[in-house]
Amino acid sequence: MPYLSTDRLKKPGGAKSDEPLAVAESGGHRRLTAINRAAERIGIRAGMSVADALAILPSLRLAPAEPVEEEALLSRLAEWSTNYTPFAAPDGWRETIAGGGLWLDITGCDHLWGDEAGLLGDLISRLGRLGFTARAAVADTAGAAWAWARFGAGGVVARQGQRAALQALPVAALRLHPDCVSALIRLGLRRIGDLYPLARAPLAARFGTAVAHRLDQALGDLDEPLSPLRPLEALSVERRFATPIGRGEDVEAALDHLLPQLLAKLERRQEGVRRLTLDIFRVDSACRQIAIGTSRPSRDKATLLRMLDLHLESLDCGFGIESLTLTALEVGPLPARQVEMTEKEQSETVAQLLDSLGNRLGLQRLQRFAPYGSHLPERAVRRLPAGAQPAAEPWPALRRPPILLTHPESVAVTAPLPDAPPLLFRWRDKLHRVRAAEGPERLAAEWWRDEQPTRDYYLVEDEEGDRFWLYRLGLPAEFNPARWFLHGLFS
Amino acid sequence: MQTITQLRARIGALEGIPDPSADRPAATLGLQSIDATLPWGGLPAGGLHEIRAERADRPAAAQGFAAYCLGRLARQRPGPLLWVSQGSELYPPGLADLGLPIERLLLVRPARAAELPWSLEEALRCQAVAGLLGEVRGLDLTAARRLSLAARGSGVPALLLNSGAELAATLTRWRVRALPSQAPFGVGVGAWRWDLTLARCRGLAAGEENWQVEVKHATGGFNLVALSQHRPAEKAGRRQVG
Repeated sequence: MPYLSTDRLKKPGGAKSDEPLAVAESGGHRRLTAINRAAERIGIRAGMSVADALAILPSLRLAPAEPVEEEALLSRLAEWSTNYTPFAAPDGWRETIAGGGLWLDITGCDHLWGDEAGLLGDLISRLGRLGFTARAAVADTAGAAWAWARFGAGGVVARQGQRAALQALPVAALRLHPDCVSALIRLGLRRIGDLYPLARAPLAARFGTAVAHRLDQALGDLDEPLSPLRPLEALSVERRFATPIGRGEDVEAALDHLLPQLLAKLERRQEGVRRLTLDIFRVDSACRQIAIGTSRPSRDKATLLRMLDLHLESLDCGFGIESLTLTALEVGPLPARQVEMTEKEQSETVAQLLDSLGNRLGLQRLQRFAPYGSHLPERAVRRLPAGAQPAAEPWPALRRPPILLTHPESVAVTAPLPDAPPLLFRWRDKLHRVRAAEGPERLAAEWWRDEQPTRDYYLVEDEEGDRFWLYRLGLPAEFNPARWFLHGLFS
Repeated sequence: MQTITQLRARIGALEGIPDPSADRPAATLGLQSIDATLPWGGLPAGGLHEIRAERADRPAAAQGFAAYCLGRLARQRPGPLLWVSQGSELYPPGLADLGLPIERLLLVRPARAAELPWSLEEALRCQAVAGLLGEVRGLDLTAARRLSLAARGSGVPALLLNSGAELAATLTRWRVRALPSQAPFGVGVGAWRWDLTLARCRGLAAGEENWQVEVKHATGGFNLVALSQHRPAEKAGRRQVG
């Protein structure tokens, strides 16, 4: 899809397709990263600086580059193209060519559209209806298909015909780094065919192994594994609906039916699910994926259903849902169930609880604590994720309040001497008369930290029995008048 | 006599009061006089206990008593202790001083108030939890009832540190106030002293029990400072038939 970046922008009925449009990166040296066909026709090229392009056409419309959104769009399209084959992936190659691509492994799928050409035609016309200009090629190897779609005529490359087809294409079609391409061109090696007669060893010595590697991949001498969007033999179950369903309850009922099928598959393999995705395909070709994770392999229907239900609350069914696919993306070993509640199982129940709380509240909202060797009270606690199992480390035997204010609050204090405990203090507009006091405990930041004044802490009790942790900032002579803060409340 | 005991237990079960003779032992509170007063010999498994501050502007003592109770629950049952709160001012070194095993403590901080009852109920349904402490600002009748049912089902005891309107469906209600401490030689501040009022307890006659206690930081448990006083419910509150 050579014009992906610009096609994407015109989609929601924005600019007309015949108006020149370019996408420019932000930053100091602004260059065009992508252009549309109209801009290409008048001589604007991707890679030009914005100033040059505006010199050619002052009225050129510019849009900011949004690489993240483009990636997301590409993976959505890859997901959409699982209509054609279960093996689809977005193409991550962005070094030398604008636009974006999709990999489809159509082995064994082409007959559904008559033949390979039929499949390509259908794919291109459907993408066209979605608003994307697309070129496609089929070949024996991924590399040859990539080159033929972008630099060749597109269409079907005959079986074992990749050698002949690639011969006349420029070396850039081999997915090489731009530096490597320009080095090859400087030596007069402009076409892929020029590389055929060369010995591999000197080629590798001069350009690194990449050139020979890519060439072998394109010609089929070397296997090129692609990473499909979903694992090939995915543990997944699917349900298609004769009439699209549109109510949340129906989705839940379908899940109630689907999930046990998946769990039964897992049980046969003695495995449990770690990551579960639910793909919801809507009638209007939008699809939504719900993903949940568990902290350890699970085969518990009730827990998993509850975790999925949490996400279903916000589901937009649109004009209806035509199919649901439930996939166990990640699994782990989980032996068959025991009946008795052992200690291990008890810890599993806790893990389930943490999963369910974490999936709804956010995992960062679950915390454990461990001591940390710092004198400053606010730094003496380490917050750990809930899954961590802190050792029973002893806490320092010091009198510390169970409530520590995040921000110490300034208090007005009456003290007889600069370094004596207070007699009276006013906090939150209330006067407290001090009955008994303990201190000072002088605490200072570690010397390698930024310099902070020391603090003299006092534990004071007022006449009603409430106990407070106050401190005076700095040494007694440092601040005049003395500055006092309330840092904690004792019980 | 046997029949009456059985009948009491059955009525109690219908009303959601844990059976004192059940096989799930209660967590003692560390003072003989309190444990003897409570019909279960301590805080029973599987029920709600409300803890409130005597005065809303001085909440620290109630929080301390709640943390102390959670530490007592930890002695009785294995498993994690959950503290569900929206605030972020808990300070573990001070909680450890009240006998709470911090290595078992798990803090759950829902971002929105609406998620608080859900979190509490979710945690209460998990049998492996040793004890639960929730900081709430009142709960409506339905929510309290749901929590009570969840606790009864799983056997997990729950402490609700409440700063709102009084809760329904709880087994006990405590009011806590800080008392001036007594330092050993009159110098400095002594061990924490609290005034505990048992304002309501299912299975006991209406009325209030009161204790003044001092926390034994080193060994856990309480020292009794002032003896228990029983204050019967005011007559005006009851309608006489006749």
